[in-house]
Amino acid sequence: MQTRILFVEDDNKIRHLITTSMNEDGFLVTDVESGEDALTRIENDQFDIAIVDLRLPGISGLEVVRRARKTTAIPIVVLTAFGDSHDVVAALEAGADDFLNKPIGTKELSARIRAILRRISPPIEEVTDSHFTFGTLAISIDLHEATSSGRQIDLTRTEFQVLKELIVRSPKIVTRHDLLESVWGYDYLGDSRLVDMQIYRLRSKLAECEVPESIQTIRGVGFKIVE
Amino acid sequence: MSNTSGGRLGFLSLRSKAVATGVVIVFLISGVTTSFTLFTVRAYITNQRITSATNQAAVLSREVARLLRDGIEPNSALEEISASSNSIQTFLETINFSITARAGTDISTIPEMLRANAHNGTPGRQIYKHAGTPYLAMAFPIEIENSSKYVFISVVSLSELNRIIVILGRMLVIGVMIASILGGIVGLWLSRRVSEPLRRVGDAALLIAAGDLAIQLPHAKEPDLNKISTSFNEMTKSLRNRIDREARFGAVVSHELRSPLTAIRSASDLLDSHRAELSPQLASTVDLLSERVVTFQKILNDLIEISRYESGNVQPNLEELKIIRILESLLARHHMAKDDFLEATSSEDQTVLVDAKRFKYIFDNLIDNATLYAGGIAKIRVETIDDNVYVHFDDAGIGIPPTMQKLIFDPFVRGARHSNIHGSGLGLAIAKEHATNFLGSISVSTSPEGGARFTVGLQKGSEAE
Repeated sequence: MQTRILFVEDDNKIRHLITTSMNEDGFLVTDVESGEDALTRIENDQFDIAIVDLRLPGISGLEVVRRARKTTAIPIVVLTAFGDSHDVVAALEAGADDFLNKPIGTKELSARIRAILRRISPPIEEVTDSHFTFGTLAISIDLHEATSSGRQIDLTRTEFQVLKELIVRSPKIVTRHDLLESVWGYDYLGDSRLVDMQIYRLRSKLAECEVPESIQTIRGVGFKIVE
Repeated sequence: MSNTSGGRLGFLSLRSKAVATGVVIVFLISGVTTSFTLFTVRAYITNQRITSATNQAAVLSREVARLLRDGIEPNSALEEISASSNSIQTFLETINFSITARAGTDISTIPEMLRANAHNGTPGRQIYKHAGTPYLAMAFPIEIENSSKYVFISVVSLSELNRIIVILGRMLVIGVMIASILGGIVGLWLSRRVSEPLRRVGDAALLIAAGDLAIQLPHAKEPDLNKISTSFNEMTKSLRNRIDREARFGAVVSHELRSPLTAIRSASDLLDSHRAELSPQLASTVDLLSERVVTFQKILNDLIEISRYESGNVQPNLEELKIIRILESLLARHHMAKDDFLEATSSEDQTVLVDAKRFKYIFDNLIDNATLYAGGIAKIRVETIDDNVYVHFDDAGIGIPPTMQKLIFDPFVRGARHSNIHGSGLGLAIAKEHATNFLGSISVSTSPEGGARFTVGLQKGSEAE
C-alpha cells in the first residue's frame, strides 16, 4: 500500500515540483496550499504523515500543527527556515514530531519520510514480539495501543514509540541518542531537542491519565521508566 | 632606542607616569627649597653664635685684664670670672707659654696658629674639631703696664649648635618626604579623576572589540571629560546601527533567496530523477545545475549563519556526547572508513560537552576544505590532555604558510591559487565562531607529516553516557 502524504505549502510552483517528485518516488501525495485546507483534509481523510511548511498565509503552520494534533496521531514534519531555532522549538511544543530545514531537496525529503515511517510503523515481519508490560502499563505494537490498568492512553505515533523503547529497554537507562536512532532514525548526531520535547509531552499525558509509572531523567545520561 | 610603546618607561601606565612625574617634581622643588633654607639658617645661627661668643669672650678678656692689673694672680683671676662663664673654658698663657687653666681643661687641643698670633699681639678666633665635637676658640692678647704679657683664650663648644642644625636638617628632610608623599597622593587622586573616563573608554573599546555593542559610558561630571563619554556613546550607537542594518540586510536577502532556491533545487532534483531519459549533453547540464545548486545552498546557509552571529541571535545546544562515536558517525556520512582515518591516544571514548550541529559544521567544513585544497584528510587524531579533548584534522597537503595561518579564519580569505574554487569564503570564519562560542577553540598549525593541522579543542563532559 502506498504511503499517503499530506503536503502543505503555499508556493504553487514549489508545491507542484515537490509533489510531482514525491509521487514519482512512489508516495501518494495530497497537496494543499493553506492551513484551512490542511485541517479539513486531516479531518476527512486518512494520511500516514503530514509535511507542513511553517510559513503559511492565514492559519500559520504552527497553528495547523497545534489543531491537527488534537485529532490525529500521525507523524507531523514541519519545514522551517534554516536555523530558526525558535520556530523549531515552538513547532515541537505544538506537537510536531520532526523538522526539516528549507531549502530541502526532494531526495532528502523522501529519505527522511521513509526513515520516520519505517521506525514508527515497521513492516509487520520485523515485529518479533508485539506485547510488552511495565507495572500497570501495557503496550501492543500490532494495535499501536498503550494502556494503564486496562485504560487506554491517547498517544501519537512518536510518543508511542518513545514509551515502547523505555519499556522494552527497562530497567536500562535509555539515552537521547538511543531514542534518536530507534524512534527518529537518526544516527548519533540527531537533534536532542526532538527527544526532550517528546519526553515532556509523554510525561504530561501519563500524568493526565494518572499513570503510577513515571519517566525519570538521569542527568547527563538519559531516561528511565520507573514505578 | 625607544620603542613604540613609550621608550624606557613604556612598561608604566599613563597614570603611573603622571604620578611619578608629579612626585619627582614635588621632591625636587621641596628639596632645593629646603636645602637653601637649611644652608641659610645654618649660616645665620652659626654667625650669631660666633658673634655672641666673641662678645662674651671679649668682655671676659677685659675683666681678666682688669683683675691682673689689680695684681690678682692669674689663677685667681680665672676663678673670679668662672662664676659668669661656666660653659666656657678659659686659659691664660704667659709670653713664655706657661699656662694657667681651670681644672679639667686641656690647652693642647687649641690650634697653635691662633695662640701664636695672639702672642704676637693679634687677637683671633678659629673653629676646630676635637674628638668629633666642634669648638670655637678665641684668643686675646693682654698687656699689663709692668710689661708682663698674657694671652687670654676662651673656648666654646659648638656641639649644641651642631645638634640644632642636625635636628633642623632632619625635620626639613622629613618635610620633603611628607611633601613628596602628599604630592604623590594628590597626583594619584587627580590622575584618577582624569584617567578614569579614559580607562572606561579603554574598557568599553575592549568590550566592543569582543562584540558587545550595547556598551554605554556613564555621564561624567567634568564637562571636558563628559565630551569624551558623549562622543564615544554616539560612536557606538552609530556603529551598532550600521552593523544592525548590515545584519538585517544580510538576513533579509538570505531569507528571501531561500524560496527561489527551494524551487530551483526541487526542479534540479526532478530533472535529475529523469536523467536516464535525457541526452548526454542535457544530462551533464543537469549535473552542473545540481552541483551548483548545492554549492549555492551552502553559501546561502553560510550567509544566514554569519548574519545570525553578527546580529547576536545564536543559541547554543550543548550536550554530553562521546567524541569517537560522533567522529565515526560523521566519517560514515562522508563514506570514510574509520579504521583508515581515526586515531585516538586514549582507549576510552571520552565524553565531551558539544553542540553537535555546530561540531558537524566544522567537521564537514574541514573535510571539504582538505578535499578541495589539500588532497583530502590524512588522519583525524583525538588527543586527551587533562580536562580537554583535542581533535586534530591532519590533511595530506603541503601545509599552510605561517603568514596565511594568521589570516585563515578571517572571512573571505582564500589562497590565491584557489580563487577558482566555489564557496562562500565564510566556512572557516563560521567554524571559528562556532568553536570559540560553543565548543572551546580552533587553531591551525602543521601536522607531523607536514600538512595542515586544524585542531578543535573541546571540554570533557562531567558524566559518561
